[in-house]
Order: sequence, then C-alpha cells, then structure tokens
Amino acid sequence: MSGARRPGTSKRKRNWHIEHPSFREERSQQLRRGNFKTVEAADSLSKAWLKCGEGFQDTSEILSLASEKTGITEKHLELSPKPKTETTSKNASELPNIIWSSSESDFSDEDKTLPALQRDGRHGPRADRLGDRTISCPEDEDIEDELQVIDWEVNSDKEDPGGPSECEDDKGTLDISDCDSCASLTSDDRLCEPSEPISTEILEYSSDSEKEEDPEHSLFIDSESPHKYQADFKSDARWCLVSQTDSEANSAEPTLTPQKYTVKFPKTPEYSVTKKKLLRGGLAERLQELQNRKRSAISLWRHRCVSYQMTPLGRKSGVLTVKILELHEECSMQVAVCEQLAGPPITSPPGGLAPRPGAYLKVLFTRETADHLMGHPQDIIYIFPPWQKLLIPNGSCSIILNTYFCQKAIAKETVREDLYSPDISLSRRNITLAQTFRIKDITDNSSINQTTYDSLATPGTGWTHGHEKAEQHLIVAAPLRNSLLDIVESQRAGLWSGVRVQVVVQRVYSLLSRDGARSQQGHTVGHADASGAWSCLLVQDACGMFGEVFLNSTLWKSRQLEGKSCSMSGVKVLQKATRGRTPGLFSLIDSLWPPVISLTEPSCGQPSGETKTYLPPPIFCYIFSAHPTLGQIDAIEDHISKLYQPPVVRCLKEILQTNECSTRCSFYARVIYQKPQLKNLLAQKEIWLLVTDITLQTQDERDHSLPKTLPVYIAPSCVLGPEVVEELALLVSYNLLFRDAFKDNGQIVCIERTVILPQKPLLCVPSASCDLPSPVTLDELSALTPVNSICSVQGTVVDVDESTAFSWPVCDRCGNGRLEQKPEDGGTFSCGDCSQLVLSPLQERHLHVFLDCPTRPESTVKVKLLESSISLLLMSAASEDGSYEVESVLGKEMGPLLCFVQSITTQQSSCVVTLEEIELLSTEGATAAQPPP
Amino acid sequence: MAVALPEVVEELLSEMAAAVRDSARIPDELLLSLEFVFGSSAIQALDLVDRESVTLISSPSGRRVYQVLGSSGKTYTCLASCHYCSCPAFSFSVLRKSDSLLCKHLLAIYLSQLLRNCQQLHVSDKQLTDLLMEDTRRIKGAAGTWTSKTEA
Repeated sequence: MSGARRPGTSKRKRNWHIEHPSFREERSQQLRRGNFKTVEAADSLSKAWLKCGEGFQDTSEILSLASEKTGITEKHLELSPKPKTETTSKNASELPNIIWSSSESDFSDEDKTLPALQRDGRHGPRADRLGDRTISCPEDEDIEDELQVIDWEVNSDKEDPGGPSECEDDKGTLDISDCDSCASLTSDDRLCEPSEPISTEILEYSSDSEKEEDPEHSLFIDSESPHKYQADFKSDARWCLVSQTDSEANSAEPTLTPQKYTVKFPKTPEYSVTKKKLLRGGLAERLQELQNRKRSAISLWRHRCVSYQMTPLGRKSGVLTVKILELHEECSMQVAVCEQLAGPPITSPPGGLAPRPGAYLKVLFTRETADHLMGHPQDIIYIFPPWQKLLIPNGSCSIILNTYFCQKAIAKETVREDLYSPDISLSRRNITLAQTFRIKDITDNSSINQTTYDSLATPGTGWTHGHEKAEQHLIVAAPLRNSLLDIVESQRAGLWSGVRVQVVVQRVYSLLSRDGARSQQGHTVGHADASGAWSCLLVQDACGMFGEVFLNSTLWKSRQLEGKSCSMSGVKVLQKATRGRTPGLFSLIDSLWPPVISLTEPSCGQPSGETKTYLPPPIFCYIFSAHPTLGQIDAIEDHISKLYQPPVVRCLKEILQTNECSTRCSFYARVIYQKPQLKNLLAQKEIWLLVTDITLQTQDERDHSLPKTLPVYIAPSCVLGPEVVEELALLVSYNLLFRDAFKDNGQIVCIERTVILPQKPLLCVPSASCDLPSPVTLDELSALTPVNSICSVQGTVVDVDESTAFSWPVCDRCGNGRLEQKPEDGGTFSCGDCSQLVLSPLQERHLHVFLDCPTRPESTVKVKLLESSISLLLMSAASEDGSYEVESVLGKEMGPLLCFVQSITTQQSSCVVTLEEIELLSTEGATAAQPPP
Repeated sequence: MAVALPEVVEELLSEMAAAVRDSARIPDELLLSLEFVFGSSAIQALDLVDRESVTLISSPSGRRVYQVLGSSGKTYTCLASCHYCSCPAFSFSVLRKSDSLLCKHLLAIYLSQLLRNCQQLHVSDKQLTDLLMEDTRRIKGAAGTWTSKTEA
C-alpha cells in the first residue's frame, strides 16, 4: 500500500515544497473553547501523525491529513498560546510519510486530545489574495459563541502568525477538506472577513470520532449525528456548502459520493450516543480508519489533479497508462476493458507482477471515480497508485482495482467540455443471483480451518493461537463430534480432516474401485480379497447422517466394527453422493431408515425427546476416504449401539410376497444349483445361484403364486468374499446368508454392497433353510417359468435334433474327451492326460430332443439331455449296427427331468424354450444337520 | 459478454481467505479493495462479522439457510444456494436497481465463512420449514412498503 501512494504524494511534494520552505517554524496555535491544548496533547498528535503518516514516503513535508477532533472558536483565538512549536517541528522533521495502513495502536486514549492546528488571522488575507477557498464555519452566523470551525486544512501549519513571510510564497495554498472529515468549508462567496482571525482545526474523521472519553474537547464527527454540514466537493475546485440535517441518509451512501461533515458539538449530550458504534478493535473499525485516510487522500489528490494538470509520464511512480477500449457498467461499477500502453515499474504495484505493455486489462472504476473521470472508449487514462491488481485464475485478463487516482491523458474533448456534456449512458450488464461465490480457500483447506473455527467460537481465543495449535495437534486434540457434517465442513480439498466424529458402523462390505475411489486415493493397499476391492463401512452419525468410508484395513478386521459405536478421524470427503447418482447406496440407506432410536439434534448434543412421526429419508450423504496412516476408526464401546440396525433376515416367501420395489432384503437360502459351474468363478462376469428355503419348499401345492426355487443373480459389482468363492468352487449344495440383496421387480440381485456370507452352522436359523426336505422339489415348467430358473419337465419326445446329435469316446479313467486314435495300434485310443491306452473308452453323447409338454402346450420345448437320460432314452432304440433310429425314440415319455432354463425365445407365433438338463448340487456336507438322502 | 465483477469478488474473497489462513490477518489493501467493490456495505458487513451476527442454520434433511442479525436488531434470512436476502436493501439495491452485487448481509456471510466465525445452529426440519414460512409471510406482508426502507 505504501509504495502505491507515491504518485499522489509526489504531486503533493512538489507543490508543498514550494509552499512551505520553513515548515518547522510554522506552528499553529491551538485554540480551544475555554481551554488550550497541553503539550502532551501535542505530543499525542505527533505520535498520531507518526503512525498514520507513514504512507507518504516520498514527501518531505507534513501532510496534515490526519488530525483529531478538536474545536476552535474564534473568540478564543487570542487566548491560544503557542505551545506546540516544538512538537510540530518535530512533526515536520520526523513524520514525513503518511500511509493509509491502519494500525490498531494508532489511537490511544491520549490521541483523543490531539490538538487542533490553528490557523491564525493571517490566513484570511492570504486566502483572499489567492482567491482560494477560505474556511469558515457554516454556523458562525448562527451560533456565535459556539462557532466551530472545522477545517481540514492541510496547510494550516503554515498559517502561523509568527511567519508572515510564508504567506507570501504560498501560491498553492490549498484548503483541502477531507471529504469525510469534519471540515467545513466555505465557498468563495462566503469568505470571512479577511482581517478576522480564523481559527481552524484540522480534523480527521476516523473511528476515533466515536470515542467519547474526552467530550469537552472533542468535536465529534459523526456521520449519523443529527446535525450535519456537508460540503460538496466539486472537481472544479469550487466548494459548495450544503447543510444537511438528515441523520439517516449517510449509511447507504457510496463511499466516495457526496462527502458529509458532521460536527458533533461538545456539551451536547445526545450526540454522544447517536452513532451506532462499530465494534472496537474489529475489522470494520480498521477498514473505517483506512477509508477515512483514503478519502482524505482522494480529495487532496483530486483537487490537485484539477488545479494543476499533471503529467505523470516519465515519473518514476507506478502509473498505469491504459487506453479504454470498451466500457460498461456492472452494478454501480464501471468496467473498462483496456489496453495497457505503459507499465509501471515492477516493484510498484503492491499485488503482483507488472503487466506487459500491450496487455489487456479490465479496470474497475467506482461510480464516483467514473463521474470524475468521464472516460470514454479510446481515452487514455493514467491510473496512479495505489491501484490493486487482481489476477483471476483462468481469467482472460487481469483486473485493476482501487483506481481512485485516475486522470485522462488525452481526452477527445477538453476536460471542461466533458464536464458539462451529458454523460453517455453505458450499457449495464446484469449479474445473476442464481449462483453463489466460491471462496477457493474455504474449499481448499481443512483441518486448520476447522480448529481455527473452534478457537474462534470461544470468545477471547486468539486467532494465531488457535491456528498454531491446530497445526500441532491435528488429530490428537480434536474433540469428538457427533456429526459427519463436521468433517465435511472442515474438509478442504486435499487435506485430511482432523475432526473426530462418533459414528455407528451400520454395514461392512467390499466395493470394487470402479467408482474412482482408487484413483482419488492415489495409493493401493492390500484389501479384503484378491479381486482388488476396497473394504467399506457404511456409518451413521447420531444425527442420522450417513457416510460411506473407504478403508485401508482388511475386511476381516472391519467386520468386527459392525454395530459398534466408533470414533472416526483422519478421513476426507471424496464426494457427495446423491440419490440420483448412487441409487445402490441409497437403497441400502433406505433399508436403514427411519432410525430405530430418536436422533440427536446436533445443536444441543442430546437426543431429542420429541418423537418424530415422520423423518424424511436422507437425500445425500458423503463418501469418505480414510487416510492410509492417519485414518482411524476404532470402536469406542464393546456393546452394540442402539442406533445399529442389523439386516432383517426374512424368509424367501415373505420377501417374495412383499410388493416393495427396489428394496434391500436379507435372507438365508440353500444354493441348489449354480451356473456356470466353474472352479474359478471370479473370472466369471455373471453368476446365477438357484436358491430355495424351507418356506418356498413347503408351501401349499395348490398355491402356485410363488416359485419353489428362486434364481439369484450375482452382478459383477457384487464382491464375493474368499470364503464364499471357496464354497462355490466345491460344487456342493450349501447355505448362504445374503445380506442386503437387492430386490427389484420380483428379481433378487446381489449388487454392490450386498454381502454374501457362508452360513455358519451355529448361526443357522432353525426355521429357515436347515431342514429342507430332500429331495428338493422344483416347479414344473409352466408358462410362468422365467429364464435362468430351474424346473422339472415331463413330456413326450416329438423330435430329435439330429444335426447336433453326436457321440465321442472319452477316457474311462479321467473323462478326457480328446483321445488320440493310433492306427498303428489297431485303432485303439490313448489318453493324453493319462498317458496310456484307453482300452474301453466310454461313449459320450450329445443329444437335443424336443418335448411335448402338457404344462406348456403352446411352446416348443428343446432339452439338452444329460448322458444318463440319453442312455435311458436310447436303451431300447439301439439298432444292430450301433446306430439309432429316430422313429424308435419318438413318442417316448421323458421325465421328470430337472432343467435349467437357458432361454425362452418367441419367434412369430411359436415359443421355443431351451432347457438344459442338470443335476442339482450335491447336498453332501451342506449342513451337518441334514443327513444325505 | 461475460461480467467481470463476480470473478473479481470471488478472487478477492479467496485472497482474503488465504490471508486469514496464512497470517490470520487480512491485509489493508484487501480491505480497501473490498471497500472499493462494495462501498459502504463493506464496513457494515465487517461489523456484522465482528459481532458474529451470521448463523448457519441447518436441518437433518440437508437444508441450509443463513440468518444474519442486522444492526437494527432484525434478523434477515439469506439462502445458501443463491444470492437472496430478505432485507429491504437487497430488494431495492440488488433486485430493483441492480446497483449492488450483494447486500451487506450476504457479504457478511461470505466474510464470516472466510473468517470462520459463522455460528452454527442445527434445527429440526420442521423448525427450519417454519422459519422459512414465517419469513415468506413477513416478506409478503412487507411487500407493499419495502420501497420506503432503504436501510437494511
């Protein structure tokens, strides 16, 4: 900021240097009503100046921009001694610079007694001579005795009665009012009598104006106090005195528009409480101080700018020279798309690199600046520091802000003409309200912010303290929260939250990494099984919010957590999941809704006593990832949480009878057949398990609404645990627990987040599948039989598919069908697998027959027969030469055959049902309780 | 053609947030830039933040709404998903005149986010619904007279 002040100050320097060659000797006397300032007060002034004067680093003189509220009346002029000569000279020598930067320590209590700088009687003649503005109090006619001359008189220090010579060399005397300071300025037509001594005070409107510790000498400037005297500052250097009494009008005013000066009179008690104070020490107070100084500087600068045409070219300061290409309005700002013609020195702009000449910029002007500037396209504008440069990431060009100090270099018309020409109305671009601003850092940072927030929530905790503390005790010191939203709120992309949240683990399952979780994690750790899936937890906080956590631990360990209340930390949000994007997750969440116990209201931390009749199901949840090392999910208690909702295991009949669509269900079932029957099922994309349980098997024969067996489809997204894969590879009938399978349109599907577990004998539910009748009965093939189901078929052979009927010899020992016939050995077969001759090869046959089934009369039923059925069928059909006559087979009764429905195709009017005769899985060893038949 | 002001504000707020994070202090120039863009609303919004007047109210269903305690003692409701505030200044300066980008309450919400002093309040869904309904009624009731108010 400080460097940016240079151009304005350089002008000041030039002028003022001429004006005040003997500044040190000039000392204003302070006059106060009935009192006078003490030397201490003067010291305070000097200190205050010291603080706030650091900005004008180039100036060698004092700029009396900053002063304090004081009051001087005419009638006490003669009483004033010259107590401050030494002080002010000190000021002159030691306080050359004024900056805007605020320092909270600027205004101590003693600062409030800052003396006024007095302007003595010599000022009048000089002002008159110069044709300059004089300063008077608007009330001096009205309130003779209480006359308050508030002058923000920058040059007041040279109006020392003891220094007449200085008056003569002041050709550039300026009575600059701080726009917002309590300066009252007279226009030329209100000149005071030249000979009369005019007492002035230099005041600065700052937040100190609200400090009321010293009401007697304080001349309060209060923008909202009832009596305001407004001087309207025109750029043509004419002062208009405007009296304004509206106490309400100020607050909504743009900052730089008509400046108001309010004078708070001492001894008037109501003024002391009228203004709504800004919070002491707050950011608002800081900004107000900055703003006051800025306004002062702008007023001064603008005045000089008009009085003396400045030629900033060649100056060392960081003046930006741009040509306006296009101009429009956005809200009250003018946005000018500009081409930069000349760049500032690299070091000058405070906020970034110097733009290249020729670069395009967007320059923002406030309405007030724009009114003064009267810029038009093709105008060349000088923008004096301090401007701010804002680099917009991904933006097309840089933005220049804080363009208070602008001047036209080459105007199309003269400045004067521009002033009176009607301003062309600029096109205004509307800004949508339908989106909010994204604060990058809010979404970029996590744990630090969270803990900073914590410390801020406690009044009196210092920022810095909390900040450092947060970094040191990232995880350890974090309190246990009860809402997952605490993680989300503390979550900033890329960092891991240190928040610890108490959650209940509702489910443990594995997920394939196809949803991008793995790539986002950026690391691969060993997981529950060989298929490369992640162990995941579905957790719920006390407020009911769900979250899915991708873990790094093994599934085996995670399973111990189910149902437990756990403390979770070191996780970050991967994504927000919504119903539409992750229907599978929400079907599971819905099965856990509503919660079994009343939820905690996060605000009070206690379960609400109120029993809610209806809780809307959640519409979103968060997916978290646990940090490889920092991520911790540990059980807090050993017992099962009351919030835990274990899967409700129901019998298949009940599941099939309910009409709910798209729900999760859990059941025990006996797998009686699986397709395909392969050793390595993991390589398989699709698996069908044909299951049944006691409730389906023992239902009333006359009730055909429910099947006796049920196909369960295992989608590729369902991760099978190694123990299940092991069981499947045994190719025996077995009992499984299906947790959170998905039922949709009567079809049961195992999808992601479905867990299939072997049914442990001890966990066997007595009424369910353990005591299945043997053998298992199947439904007969009917018009309702679906694809991929199994059924029993009975019928008459009506045709044989001769094109696919063939036989081949297989090894009688290993069943290898690829036997080699060696002619040299007399046509005997040898088995490559057994490495020996096959003396009596078996005949394998392949035969499809067409059956006429009374249960499905309209359809053509094609059955691929097993060898045993083929043998039975052909037993009586064999002719002498070893061939078979088709006619001998036709009309034979087959069945009942157990068949898997491979396909049902409808061609025109006919329906072809393709069946494959199967053998059910052996029940041997399925359950210990069930003896083999 | 695209507007420049929103991205200016976004970047400004982001820089302020970064400054808070890095040094726990907002530099003067950023404060002045804020004032440059928002005018007198900047000081007023900062004062609201100084006084911790911003509260984020959320409910289990995920609804979120901000409430800002105005300097007059009234509370104003601001939506979290778009720029809306129930104060008269928003109706006048933002909606009707398009003179301001935000009212001071909405600006205060952003500032409280980056300064991390936004208060949190969790209420039931019904409470939040009631709050919004009440606010709607109030707006409707005041619809005829809002033009006379300029100060939020």
